[in-house]
Amino acid sequence: MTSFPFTLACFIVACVSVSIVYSLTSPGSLDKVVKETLSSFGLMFGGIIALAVAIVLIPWLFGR
Amino acid sequence: MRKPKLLIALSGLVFPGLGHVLLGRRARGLVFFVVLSSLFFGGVFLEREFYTKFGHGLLRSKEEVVPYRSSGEDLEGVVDKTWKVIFVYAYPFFVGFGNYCIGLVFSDATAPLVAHIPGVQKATEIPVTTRDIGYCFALLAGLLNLLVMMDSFDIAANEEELARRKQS
Repeated sequence: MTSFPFTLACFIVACVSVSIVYSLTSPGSLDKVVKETLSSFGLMFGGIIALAVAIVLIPWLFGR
Repeated sequence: MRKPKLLIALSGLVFPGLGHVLLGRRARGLVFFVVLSSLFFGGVFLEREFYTKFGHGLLRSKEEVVPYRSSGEDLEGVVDKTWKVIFVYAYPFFVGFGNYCIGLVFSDATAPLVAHIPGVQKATEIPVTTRDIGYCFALLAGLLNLLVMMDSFDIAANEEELARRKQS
């Protein structure tokens, strides 16, 4: 099994890449790019972590 | 002069971000190139068996490849194989033929380095532990490049409108 830090690092790299491409392809001025990259990264990272936690928690809650 | 928008969009098939560079947006094009190429090469590095997609690789002998590929090969049905061809072998092409060709050599050259990745215990485990993440990275790079290509097409198609907006 691959280690947790390695998997987390891969996940972060993927999220950063998607958010950079998203912020650069969305219409708008260049000075907003950094802000947009950070916000889309936060949303994506937080959203996926929340979803993962929910997927783990729901069966645990209902299984009791 | 009006730029050929289809040609600009398709130039992303050579190298990611080339369409943006042709449109004069060099910084953006360079960022796309760096991000997508590093993602793709990261994927190729982790995937390791990338070179087998064109047979038994350019630099490796057949005997070296067969041992870990033959196990479980019988379990793959027609659907699995078709899925693999479409999503695993075809999508990395969208990251650019230039990158894809470099990836062939890169994969062979860096294959022994994968053994140093944390969590990889021994050489035979390499394809199992990192292959899926490698596939994901290569696929993601290809899909993101499709988005970048569409963006360059969009910019080329609406260049007059964009220039007018800038002036006003």
